[in-house]
This record gives sequence, C-alpha cells and structure tokens, in this order.
Amino acid sequence: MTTEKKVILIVDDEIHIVEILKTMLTPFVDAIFTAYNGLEALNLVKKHPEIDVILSDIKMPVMDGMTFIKNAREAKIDKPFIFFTGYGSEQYMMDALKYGAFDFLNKPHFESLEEIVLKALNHAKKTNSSSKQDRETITAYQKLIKSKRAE
Amino acid sequence: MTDERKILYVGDDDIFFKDLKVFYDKKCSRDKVACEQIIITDNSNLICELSTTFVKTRPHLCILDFSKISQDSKLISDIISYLLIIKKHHLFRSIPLFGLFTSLEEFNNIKFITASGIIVYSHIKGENDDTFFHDSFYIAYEENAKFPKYAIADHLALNHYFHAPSTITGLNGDALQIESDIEAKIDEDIEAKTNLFPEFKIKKFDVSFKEESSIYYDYLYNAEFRIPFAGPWDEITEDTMQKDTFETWIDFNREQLRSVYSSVLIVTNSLPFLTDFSKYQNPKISFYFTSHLHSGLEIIKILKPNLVIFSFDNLHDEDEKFNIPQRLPNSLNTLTQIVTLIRTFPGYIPVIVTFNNPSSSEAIQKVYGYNSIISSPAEISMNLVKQLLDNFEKNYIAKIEPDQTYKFHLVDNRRIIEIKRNTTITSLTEHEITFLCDFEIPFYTTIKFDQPFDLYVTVVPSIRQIDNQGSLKHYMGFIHTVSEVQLQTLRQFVNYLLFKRPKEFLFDIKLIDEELQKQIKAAPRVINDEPQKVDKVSEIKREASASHKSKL
Repeated sequence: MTTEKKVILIVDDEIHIVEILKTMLTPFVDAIFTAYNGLEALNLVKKHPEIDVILSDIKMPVMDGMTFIKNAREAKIDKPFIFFTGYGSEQYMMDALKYGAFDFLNKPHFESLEEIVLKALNHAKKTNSSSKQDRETITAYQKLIKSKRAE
Repeated sequence: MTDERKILYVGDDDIFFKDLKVFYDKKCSRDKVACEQIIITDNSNLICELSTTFVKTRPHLCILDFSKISQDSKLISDIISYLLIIKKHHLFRSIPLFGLFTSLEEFNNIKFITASGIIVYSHIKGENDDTFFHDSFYIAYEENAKFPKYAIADHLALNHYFHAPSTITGLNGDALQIESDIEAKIDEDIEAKTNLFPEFKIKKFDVSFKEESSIYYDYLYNAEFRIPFAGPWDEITEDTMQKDTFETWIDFNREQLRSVYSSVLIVTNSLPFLTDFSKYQNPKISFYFTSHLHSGLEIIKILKPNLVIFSFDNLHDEDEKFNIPQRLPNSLNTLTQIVTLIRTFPGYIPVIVTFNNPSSSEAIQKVYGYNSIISSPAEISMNLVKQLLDNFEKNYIAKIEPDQTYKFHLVDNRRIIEIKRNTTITSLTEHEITFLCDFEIPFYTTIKFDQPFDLYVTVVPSIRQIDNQGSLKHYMGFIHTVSEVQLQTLRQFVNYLLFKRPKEFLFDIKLIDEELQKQIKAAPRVINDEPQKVDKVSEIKREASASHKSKL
C-alpha cells in the first residue's frame, strides 16, 4: 500500500473496452492508468507503485496478459490482477492461477465489475499480516461450511 | 553409499545401546557413526522428541524397544500413530523401523504392532543380538553383507504355504476392509486366518475390491474381502456362519469399535506442519496425512474425505523432479485432477482448503467451477488447521450420522488378519529361508511360516545367488523373532531337512529325534547344534531393491 487513494490500471488492446471500463469505474476510484498491451502495462506498474489493482485482458499483441503477470511477479509486484476472460480462456485462467490471480471478469459482460474491483482495492489496501490472512481463511471457511449446512 | 551412519535407538536398555554402538563403530570404522538414543520411559516429551529427531536427523534406521512399555497401550498407540503419520511423508518412507521385545510372550501380546506394517523386522533381545545387528544393517544399507555361512538344507522343493500378517481396517455387515503388502486379485478366492471371535471360523473370502495404496496403516495394498455367509437354508458347517451372527457380534461390540464419522485428507510436504500435526489427536475424525498424492488418486476414491487440506509446494509442475513416477507434485495440475475426480461422484462435494496459494478463493472457484474451495496465501500451519478442524467438528461432524463401517482401535489384536499364500520352499538355514512363488512379494514384507513354529520372515534382496524358475519368482527372507529355545528347534529342523530330505515341510519333534539319532549313528560326522560358521559370503552390491517393488 502506497497511498489511501484508489488507483487502478486497465490493460486491453481494444480501445473501446478501455473507454467503457474507464467510464464505469471513474466514480469509484481516484485515478486510472491505461495501457494497450502487456509491455506498456509492465513499464507502468514498475514506474507507478501507487497502482493498487490491475485489470487486464489475456490475449493482446506485443505482450499477452500471462507474460505480463509472470514478469510482474518476477519483478516482485504483488498487486491483485483481475483478468478479462471469454470463450476459450480456460487454459489461460488456469495459467493465471499459477501467478496469483485475484478474479476473472467475463468480457464484455461486466455486471460484477464494481463489486470485484472494490474488493480487490480493499484487499490491496490491507496490510497482509499472516494473522490477518489466517482470519480471512477462517472466515471464508466458516461461511462455506455454513452454506453447506444450509444445503 | 554414505559417509555417515545415523542410527536411532528408542529405548532404555543402555547395555543394548552400547552393544549397538560397538557394532557400528566396528562395522563402519571408516565412516562417521552417529548413534542417538531417546529414552522411552517417563519421557513425557517422547513424541515431540521423536518428531524433532526424525525431522532434524533423518536416521537411516530406527530401533524401537518396546520391552519396558509393553503394558502401556496408550503410549504404544501414540508411538505407532506418530510413526504411521511420518511414514506417509516421502522423506521418511524408506527408513526401516525395527521392533525389540524381551520375550515371545511379550511380542505375541502386542502383535498389533507388527500388524501395522511399519515394523520391518522384530527381534527378541538376548544372545542373538549380533544377528539382529547384521540383519538390520543389511536392511538399512543394503550393502556389505558379511553374514556367517550357516548349515544349509538346500535343493529342497517342498510345497507349503505362508501367511502374510495384515490388518483389518474396517468392517461392516458384509465385508472386511483390509490392508496388506501382498496384492490380492479381484474375484480371487482368498484364504485368511482371522482373530475376530471364536465363532468366526470363515477362512475363505471373495476379493471384491483392491487398490495399490494403504489408507490407515503402512501397507502397499488395500482390499475388500466379502464374507461368504451361509444362506438361510444352508447347513452351517465348521467354516461357515450366518450373517445374523456376525451382525449380532458387531452390535455387541459396538462400544469397543470405533465409528467412522468423517475423514479429512491432508496433503502437504511441510516438515514443521508434520511435527505439529503428529501431536494432534481427534478420535472423531479419521485423518489421512500424506506428503504427496499418487496418480489415480485412489485415496480420494476410497476415503471420500469430507475435507481436503491441500498445500501447494510449487504451483509449477515442471519444476518438480520426482524419482517415483506415480507420485504427484503438490501443484495446480494435481488440484485440477482432484477436482475433476470429485465431480465424477454425484452428491459428493467436499470442502477443499488450499494453502500457499497466491490466487483468491473467487478466482480459483471460477476456474474450477467449484464453489467449495477456498484459498489461503499463508503457509500451512497447525494453528490454522486446528481452527479449521475444530470448526469442522463443531459444525459438520456433530450433525452427521456415523458411517456403518467400524474400525478397530490400533491396539486391538483382533484387527490382525493373516492371508495365506502357497509357496515352494527351496532352502532353510537358521538365519534365512528361500522359496518360490508365482506372485510378487515386495521387499521388506513380513511373512510367517508355520513350521517348525511361528517363523517370522522378512523378505530381503537375496544375499546369495538365487534364480527364478520359469514364471516362479525366487525370494529370500531373514528369519527373526526367534527365542533362544526356538533357535535350538530351528537348528534341529534344518538338520532334519538336510539329512532326511523329507517330502513335507513339517516339524514333528518325535520323528525328527528318531531320524536324527539314526543319522548321527550312521554318519561319521557329528552334527552340532551350533551353526557351522565358516567362510563369509562375498559382498554384494545392493541394487536389487531398486529394480523390484519394495516397502522401503
């Protein structure tokens, strides 16, 4: 966490998608960076540590989303990544898990966009001490067990 | 093989420990020898000490002296439970464990120890300790086998049988679930001796299921033996029984048997977790701990755990290098296999908790399309797992009915089952036996012949040249758990086989005495009871167990 401001990065080679997302998210965040391929995005996150959350497409020219997250993780950038997915993305989604994906959004249906981004921002702003991580795991587990009992 | 020998003795017998050290100092004079002792009696910290020593030292062999604690079932149960857990970790799988007893009576009273599959060789302490030192050295290191040459009755071809001590892991009104080191074949009619109750005289079972893995004990296979009960109109013979009788016995013994409520599978390579987990007990949960799953995921198919705790070692399969091809890395691909398998069982939706997982629960749920999975980026810890288990017990187990399968307690001798197999004996000395089988026996399996007494044998890579005969495999086993008195009998039996060349592998003391007297009178040579310790057999390079199925 570098600042209390909410800063996000949107990465997609389709300019109209970037614009739609910018419009949708502007009311909830303080600043939005944009990039049109993974390489551009990588340079931005290295240069701007204030970026809290990254929303990225998977298939892009120059550098795809998987190579972007891989390089970011190698550069010790542990920001939450939200990937846009679509038909045929299953293997990419699996690969994304290896590098630590925060969530996936089905493109172009962005109904849960706000909820997921806010959750990711909340996650990024937290100090992730191990006791906090443990508490989160227990809470998620209790919730799951409760829902199973209800079934 | 190694330039340091690490031997762990768990027991209070200082004289034995001193002799053990002397043996190793002499035997391995060129190597560094580290013999460590853990005192067993009045040691409230025993399991912790054992755990720390195993993790830190990783001994090459461990000798457990049960002689001072043979009456303490709780302590024995704790020790065996701990050892069964660490044996499921790949780093400790190959450490041979040896059991020491003061007498045969003591050994027989706590025979459940050997029917856990973890003890490869038992020894009655006494004058034959030197044989034990040599045998345990060979089993641990598979090298420098310099055994005395004993009088040998060889070129035999005596059809006989042996029993493989195994364990009943569960029972219900129809079948016994068993674990064993010798493979049973599906639909095979198998003969076995049980120890359930006097009226249970059924000896033949139908194998309805088998898998190459063990769940609760340290064996290589598990199987289900269906009980062929007599029908309502069948005549009850000495070997048959009606189902009602068996079910009534289960009802009467319900309190002594454990009900299985729920099972938890824990998959992690973490040594700190292993150390902490080995101290945790919860009788209501049936735990299965393993450092890695194996291909086929039989354990999930059989156990159907209600909770799976899976800790990633490495998310990337390609970085994993395993010597055992069936062992699966603790990676995403393995998790994928787990979820894929789970989805094939309708209505079976266990909770999966993953540790050391950088992705969020939401992401992983979406990728797998499985909502009962949560992830934690934290390293697996007993503190967190304990909280999960407490919650699991309070909110889940409390609400479910126990399974109709019952389990024996670890310290119950009634769980012992001995599976009969035919063999042809080809040679016998007071130290080893060779025999032919038409099936595979993994090295370090313990078997039991019934002549000249209960003759326990551990199958080892042969110390002399023995060839397979056609499709028959030729095995050698070291004889152990022999008292001083029995050793005299065994020597007589060897001499009887050597001189009489009988057609049966049968000990008849009267016959043997008569025959031996005749032989002694007729032969100019004198047969001593003492073995003829002559030339050493040449050293062998220990490669046999690498190319053959082995327990270690």
